[in-house]
Amino acid sequence: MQKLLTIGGAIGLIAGGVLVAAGLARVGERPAKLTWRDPEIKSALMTLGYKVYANSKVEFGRHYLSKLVFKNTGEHPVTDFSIGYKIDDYIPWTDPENFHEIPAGFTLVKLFHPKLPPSVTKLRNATNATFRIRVLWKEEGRSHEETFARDIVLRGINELVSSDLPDTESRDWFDANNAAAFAVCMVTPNDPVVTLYASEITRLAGGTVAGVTGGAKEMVRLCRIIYDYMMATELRYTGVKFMMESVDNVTTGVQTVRMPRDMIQNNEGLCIELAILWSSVLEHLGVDSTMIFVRGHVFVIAYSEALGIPFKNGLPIECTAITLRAVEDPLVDLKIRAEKTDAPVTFDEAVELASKEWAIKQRSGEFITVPVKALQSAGYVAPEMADIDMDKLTETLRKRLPEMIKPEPRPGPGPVPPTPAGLTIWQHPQGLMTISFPADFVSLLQPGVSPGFVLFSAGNPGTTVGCDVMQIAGVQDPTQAINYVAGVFAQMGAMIQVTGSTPMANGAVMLNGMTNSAAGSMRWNCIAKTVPGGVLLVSAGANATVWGVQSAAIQAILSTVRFK
Amino acid sequence: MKTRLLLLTLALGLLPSWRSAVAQVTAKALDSIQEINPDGSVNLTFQLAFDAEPWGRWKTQVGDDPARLRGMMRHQFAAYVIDDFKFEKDDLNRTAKITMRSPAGPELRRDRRFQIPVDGWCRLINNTGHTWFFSGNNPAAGDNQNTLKIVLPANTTDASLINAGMPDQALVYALSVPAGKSRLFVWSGAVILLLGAVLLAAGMMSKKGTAPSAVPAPPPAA
Repeated sequence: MQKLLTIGGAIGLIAGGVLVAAGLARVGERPAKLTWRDPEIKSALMTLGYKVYANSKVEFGRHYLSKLVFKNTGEHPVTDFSIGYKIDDYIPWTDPENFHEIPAGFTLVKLFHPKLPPSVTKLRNATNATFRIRVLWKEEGRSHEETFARDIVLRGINELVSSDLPDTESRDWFDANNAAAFAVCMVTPNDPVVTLYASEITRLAGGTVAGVTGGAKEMVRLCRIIYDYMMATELRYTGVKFMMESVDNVTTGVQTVRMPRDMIQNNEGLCIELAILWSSVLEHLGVDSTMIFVRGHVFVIAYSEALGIPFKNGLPIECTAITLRAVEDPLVDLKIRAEKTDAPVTFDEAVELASKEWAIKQRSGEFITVPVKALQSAGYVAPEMADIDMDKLTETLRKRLPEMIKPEPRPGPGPVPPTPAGLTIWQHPQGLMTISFPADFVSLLQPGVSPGFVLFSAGNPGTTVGCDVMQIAGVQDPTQAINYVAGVFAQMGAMIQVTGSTPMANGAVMLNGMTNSAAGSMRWNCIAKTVPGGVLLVSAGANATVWGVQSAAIQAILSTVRFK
Repeated sequence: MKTRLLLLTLALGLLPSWRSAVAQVTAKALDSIQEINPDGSVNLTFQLAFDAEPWGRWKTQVGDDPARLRGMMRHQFAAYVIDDFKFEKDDLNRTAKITMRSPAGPELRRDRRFQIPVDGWCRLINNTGHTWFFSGNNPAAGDNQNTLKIVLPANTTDASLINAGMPDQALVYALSVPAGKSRLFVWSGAVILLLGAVLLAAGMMSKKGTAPSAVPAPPPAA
């Protein structure tokens, strides 16, 4: 018995020791093991849409540069997992994203939305860059590192591609144009060049176009003015420049598309460039637009949801009709003209032509609508714009307009410039600036109530359009000035919200924003310029509910601002 | 990544049209079931119901072309890994049912717990510990009616709803991980080791107790 107990005890000790040792050595378990699928890396990015790629919220994050899928196939956790990326010469190694552990059997999906610097907008041609991903992790305490690298193409700022779908997934014309929304990144209503162009157009209409007051009729009138201005300044359609390119597994059409500012300077454009210019000008003037992409062509539809002119009742405009040769065949084919003639195409003919094209496309179903405002709200926003010599551009635009319809001259130099007809001029007490405003404006300055920095305030209580001049002393730049004003207004119960800013060529900055108070919401544009001893703020705005209607009038007022 | 499940739910209610960069066909109602597995994978079921006109449009765009629907979802909802995609539709009742599986479901949190985002407008109706019911009207999809059922793994512990009613509302839970083979080996080895030691000690004790005495017994007294 005693021998049995002793032998049994010894066996137990040995067996127990073996089991404990096996347990500590984790015999029979799969160790932590990180595996991954082939990294999915987009072959090319459009620099014109670099803000879109950086935004993980645009269309549920679909515009990622890279997607990685990791899985821990072991039975122990992968620990200290971290992942970061870089794009040589453009983005340094990012701060790694860390995960304390990836549990056994878990899958981790990582998407990269690259924050490219604004300097990529200076790329004129497609440029190669190397995208690198670095992953660090530990398996059973042992450190591992893996780096993935792939060459990608950063397209030039004017290169618009039509699709980013791999060839294996692309089935039809719609797939081949799945990147049409990126065209909205070229719509630049707040670019000072477009502002100037729009103000020249409104000047053609008498200087104080009332926007789309009056609904559809006024919207049509505004579109007619734009079209007539383009015809009068001999803007030309220059045909299609389209070529197919393959990068890795993506074959796509690539078009060199200029920004509206380049078109305005060169006074010529492709159909898509003309559509983008139209959308920019219309948006600047408070009118909505949708670009209609059809096979080999683009045109626009103007409408205004705010004024009860929905898209379905919108005004189709054939933008290329400014050049007769571009449309002389369809004019006859669609029975708008009985035969070919040399007569320039009128606005009414351009609308009729687009309306018929649109009806045909609606029947066939082969079209893609690109609603500008909705896509801008979704994150398709324009890249940064470089400064430009506005004085030179102003001179260029003036020279284009034939004498017979040349508008009244702008105020010239001198202590008090001549006042345009129908306008009243106000001059800064020290002669730092002047502004002209409609003669029916009444002074809104309330001594003892208005803040002391408000030098001038006038408006039309009926339309709610008004303008103000404020001088903020002791500040260095427009940001400090607007912050100061916001602080004072906040004490008065009004919240100022700046929604955008665009540098202007004369050293000024164009700010856009809203002022919310118990009295309602005012939307405004403001020119901010540093002057000796402070900053001058010249704003014009209107109640937000009538912005679309009054936008043109507001721009017309701001276009009269002259700094000395 | 961060709002993977959330986005898919939203996206199904707002399935983008390929005829427009943003136009959407909105379902009248969307019922979702998310069954989370212990390994973090998730089985998803979506039941969509449409009114007559949107049903026609939805079918024209994707409903009659499941391959396009799946392709669009794979491309559009990139943060997801879509496997085992199945699609059924019922023209009579204008409903469609989509089922799929994704190996990646809940998000990993820094505190080693897991998180499932739930839209802020989705209000908690009831929970039974492992099964959570939500309901709400999606303001981004014409206030359509949504229900959401989330089934957590059986080994879930400490499930709770954080930031209720807020945009970052989420269901957070932990998992009690079963002991692996190695731990079993260690514990059973330790028990056997202890048993062996006891047996050995008993053997030794038993040996001492029964050994013959070297000292002869004293003679009986006279």
